Amino acid sequence: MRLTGVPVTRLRRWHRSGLLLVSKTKSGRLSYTFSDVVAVRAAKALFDRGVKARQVWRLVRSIRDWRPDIEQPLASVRVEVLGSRVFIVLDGVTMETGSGQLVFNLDAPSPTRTARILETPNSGAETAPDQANLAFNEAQEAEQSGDVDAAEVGYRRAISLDPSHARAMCNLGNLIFATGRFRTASELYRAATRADASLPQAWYNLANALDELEKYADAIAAYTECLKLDPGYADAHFNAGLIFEKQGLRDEARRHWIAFIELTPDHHPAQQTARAFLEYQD
Amino acid sequence: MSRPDPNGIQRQPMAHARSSIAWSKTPDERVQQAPLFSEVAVNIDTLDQILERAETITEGRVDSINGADRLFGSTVISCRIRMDDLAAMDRGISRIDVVTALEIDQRVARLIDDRIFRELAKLLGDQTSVNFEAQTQIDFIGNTLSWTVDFESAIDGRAATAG
Repeated sequence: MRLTGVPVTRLRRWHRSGLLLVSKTKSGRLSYTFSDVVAVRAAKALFDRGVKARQVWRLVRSIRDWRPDIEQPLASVRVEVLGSRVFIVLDGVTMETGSGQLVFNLDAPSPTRTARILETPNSGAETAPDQANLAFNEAQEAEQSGDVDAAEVGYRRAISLDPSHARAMCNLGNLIFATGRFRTASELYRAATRADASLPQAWYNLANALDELEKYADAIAAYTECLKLDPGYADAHFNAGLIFEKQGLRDEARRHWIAFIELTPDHHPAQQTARAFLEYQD
Repeated sequence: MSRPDPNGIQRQPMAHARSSIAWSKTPDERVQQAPLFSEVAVNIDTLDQILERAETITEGRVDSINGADRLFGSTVISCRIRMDDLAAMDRGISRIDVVTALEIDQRVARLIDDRIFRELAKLLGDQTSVNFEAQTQIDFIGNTLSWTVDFESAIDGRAATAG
């Protein structure tokens, strides 16, 4: 109480709700580490600035989704509040919390404020993109050699050096998607499409993630964008065909099956599936 | 075989974004470039520009045939086709049409031969011969157009041309 300025009853409520993960002593008393105290103070500061409890809870959940290795989210990030919008700075990236998810903020409301938010001790405007590409290449090599943890660190570093590094967002999204965190992955893919709208892979992966989240209309829109950029994107045709089939829209699916068959060699393992859908258009 | 259940079929996997593609680094050239294909012919100047930027992999080994060394090898030339050209094919030119046009156009064969000669020169240096035979297969899959060329070449060009 003296350290944080928060009543004990409130601290216990935060603990019970899962907002703060605080360890207990053998006698059942809550035990606060330095990190816990920092988190309590951060939470209090947010409430004092008018942020609603639901927003704080979503923020914590979002950060845990983004970085499961962080035990005490509120102690690990910088939080900025602009009106009713809450931004956090983590891994050198500014993100807005929205709908319980982190939204990668590439178009922050105030440039001067964003510049201040994005300021990091090692940021050098001229060299950051090169360093980001270097980090990206190293991450790719790590991923190819099976070192997923190193790859994730590398992609995060690339994004922190260049917050518009669409390819790093795309590949980091894949690593996060593979762990089942589909919504966070979808936000990364969407951020990648905003950073580089001409990257077909970003639209394709976004569409896949939206399909996984059963947001079929949005997924179809993303496949459409992908195929506008690259009409020869065979996998996008296959997945678009599949999603139209799920919707019962066989006519729409049909043209994608035809395109997929034309675009892929006969020995492609998915050819048989595409042909089966075409053959049985009852 | 029955109709598949779409809910039971896996999507194609996520895409991996690669570090860079040489082709995508030259957007200005792409904009200025004339279309590669028209209803009647291949634009040879555009194809020449594309081939200059193509990825090329060549391998070969030397075998002795009747006491004379010869180089046997293959070259794969692959290049990505820009979106406008692919879109043009939706208006009536099929991939088979494109491959056929490339196969029968002697100007294209000449361009490919020139490219193969340069690849031979990289391997053989001053022993490069103008006497070589090649067989070419053209594939057009996705947005990648590729030539796979198997070649057999004499070695020591001075001897070959003088003889």
